Amino acid sequence: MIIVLLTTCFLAPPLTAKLPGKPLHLMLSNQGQRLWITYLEDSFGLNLGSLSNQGFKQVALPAETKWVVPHPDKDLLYLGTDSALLTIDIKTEAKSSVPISWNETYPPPAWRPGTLSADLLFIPSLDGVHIMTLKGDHKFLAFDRLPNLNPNSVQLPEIVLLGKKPVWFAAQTVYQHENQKLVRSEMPPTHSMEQAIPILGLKGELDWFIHGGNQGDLSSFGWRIRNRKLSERGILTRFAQDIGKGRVFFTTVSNQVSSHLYASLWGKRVFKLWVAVQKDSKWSLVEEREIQLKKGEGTFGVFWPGDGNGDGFLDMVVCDKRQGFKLYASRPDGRFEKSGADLGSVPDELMFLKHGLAWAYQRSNGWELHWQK
Amino acid sequence: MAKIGIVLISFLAALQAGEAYLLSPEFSENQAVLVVDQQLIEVKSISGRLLSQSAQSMILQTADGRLVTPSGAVSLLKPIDPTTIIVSHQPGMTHPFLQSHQKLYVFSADAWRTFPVSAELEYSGPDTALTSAHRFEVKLPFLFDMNDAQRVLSYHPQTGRAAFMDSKGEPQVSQLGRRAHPIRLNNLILWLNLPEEGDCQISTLNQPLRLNDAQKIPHLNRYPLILSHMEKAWVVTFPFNVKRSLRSWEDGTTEITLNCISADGDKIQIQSFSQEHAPLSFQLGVSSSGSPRLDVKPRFRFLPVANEDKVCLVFPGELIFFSPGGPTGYRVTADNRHIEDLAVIQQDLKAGWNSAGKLVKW
Repeated sequence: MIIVLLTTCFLAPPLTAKLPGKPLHLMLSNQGQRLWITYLEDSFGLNLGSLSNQGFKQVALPAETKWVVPHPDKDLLYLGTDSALLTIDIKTEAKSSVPISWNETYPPPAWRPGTLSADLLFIPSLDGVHIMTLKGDHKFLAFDRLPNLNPNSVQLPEIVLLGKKPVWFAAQTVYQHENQKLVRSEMPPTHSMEQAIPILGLKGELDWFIHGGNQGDLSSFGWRIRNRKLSERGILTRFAQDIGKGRVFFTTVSNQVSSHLYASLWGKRVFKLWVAVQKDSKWSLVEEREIQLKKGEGTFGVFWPGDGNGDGFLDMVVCDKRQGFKLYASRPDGRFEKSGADLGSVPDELMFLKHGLAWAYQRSNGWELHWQK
Repeated sequence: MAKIGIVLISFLAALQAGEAYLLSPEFSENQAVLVVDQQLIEVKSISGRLLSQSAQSMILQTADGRLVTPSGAVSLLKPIDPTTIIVSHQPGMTHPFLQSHQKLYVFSADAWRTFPVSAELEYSGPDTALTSAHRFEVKLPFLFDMNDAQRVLSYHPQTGRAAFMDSKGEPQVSQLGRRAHPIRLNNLILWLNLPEEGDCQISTLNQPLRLNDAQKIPHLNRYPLILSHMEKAWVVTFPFNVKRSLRSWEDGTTEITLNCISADGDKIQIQSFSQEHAPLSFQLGVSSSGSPRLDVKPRFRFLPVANEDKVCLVFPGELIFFSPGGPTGYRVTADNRHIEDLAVIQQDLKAGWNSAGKLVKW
């Protein structure tokens, strides 16, 4: 009970913004003091707004804007068009522009936020990444195209930053940008129904989390971290990693068919929470906890969407019918607090934001975004 | 039967000009197959990036950024759209087209026509799946053009919203069932209603939003394989019961049903044939409520036979041919090296083209 109170006191009230459409993607700039929000109106038409202690402000985008990248440390915004790289100073509204020429390759699709790293812009397109300097020079490095889930959809990759290093995760491959090249890492060999997920360690070194088992035999299902003596039984249901922080979080359910029949009869789900932490290049388990949840309306389950307590590590969020919407803050040893802090009613959208925590509710007249700095 | 990838191949008859392109997403981006007078097939290499392909033409982007068609017509991208365009292929479109997030551009008679059709966006953070990938998904509607691209039908399976429009007036909008899969069948549109109804309906190209009475398709569930070929729709469905599913899970095969659907006037005719031991592969997925789910995918393909009223099931090491009357009795064993990359099968049933556009014999 004391822990609950402490955690609750620790959380400042979130900043909120009323949006006319559904929030799509969040980016932070000005050292985490300003949140950029791309949102949709009437399910199409991209808009941009920013949220800070000064409130919410909509930013008018030129009609030909293809992508938007906020500067991570300054109140600057970079916009790409077919022919120019525009820089906008948010405070003074001063604009400057350098020309870009797209010759040999097709310009990247619109609506894609890029990523800024050490004065380089990384703009993903369908099958590669455009790497651009702030002078507008750029080159293109090819990726494998993401598979389309069905003939009516196109999947676009997202670049994430590991420190200053850009990383792109495909389903079974990971690319890292090193020495002006994309270094591709292949999935390790697996058998039958096993799958491998790339995990990145403290120094950006690659490891693999392997889960699954043999076809026709659910009791053979389990997980392991390759080349380590970590392995257990269970069926993986959710996985996340704190990239570059050496922490991996996942949930499993029992590999007994009878327990799933029981769960579906009573609407209860029993998840096992695991946390593996990397220390001296070794992975070890620091948490193994049972979480019982009851399915209700809307968002349900265990997530690691952001850093609500501001310690630099991802926290755990749980949504269910009994508890509502709770934050389980991360602890220095990698485990999560035993009791959760109440964040309100279960949100309609849980947004991914590495620094801070963000979620949104659909209201009758639009959307309401909450940002816990 | 859970997630089974949909394979779509459309084969359109030769046009007045005597040439038509065979549509197949299985071809790689720098190849196209040309059908001449329904007889000759030749594989054409394309220089440039293929942006859109239809039976009538295709649009390529050359190395210097221009948009061109193979007949040499040149049309620049910039005059038609200030925002970026999604590369797209759809079997319902007889003209090449490009889609931006708010508009559809159809290229016909050396000119662009613009229609108010939008794409939908969805962002998946890393917390929604069993991977570490972050990604955007752009969801496109099913599209059909008609009357020389004067009018267009769009249908969003996520919402069930269908709109029929010309490039000037207000769209005629109708709310249909969600998750239907419309395909072109001669001058009709065949609506496969998935998965709840498990039936199909037809409408005409002139009144595409007026659907006739529904007719059941045996075992139609959520993810069939669909092939539109020689004025018929072929739909592979997966019979489902617990006992059979458990057996499939253990031995990795299942029984499938091939449904050959044709339309005579406004009447739908369905003939169904079954085939045993169709190979499957399984993957573990997770439902939105956090329950594990088996995602099942076919480990076989379903291809058209060029210029013949036949289709072919491509199993590992074996090809099995079907005509609308049923199995032809014609089976061929073939080395997997030759057939795993097949995109189309040729007339004599002993050769085909692979996805790199090369002729393969077995």
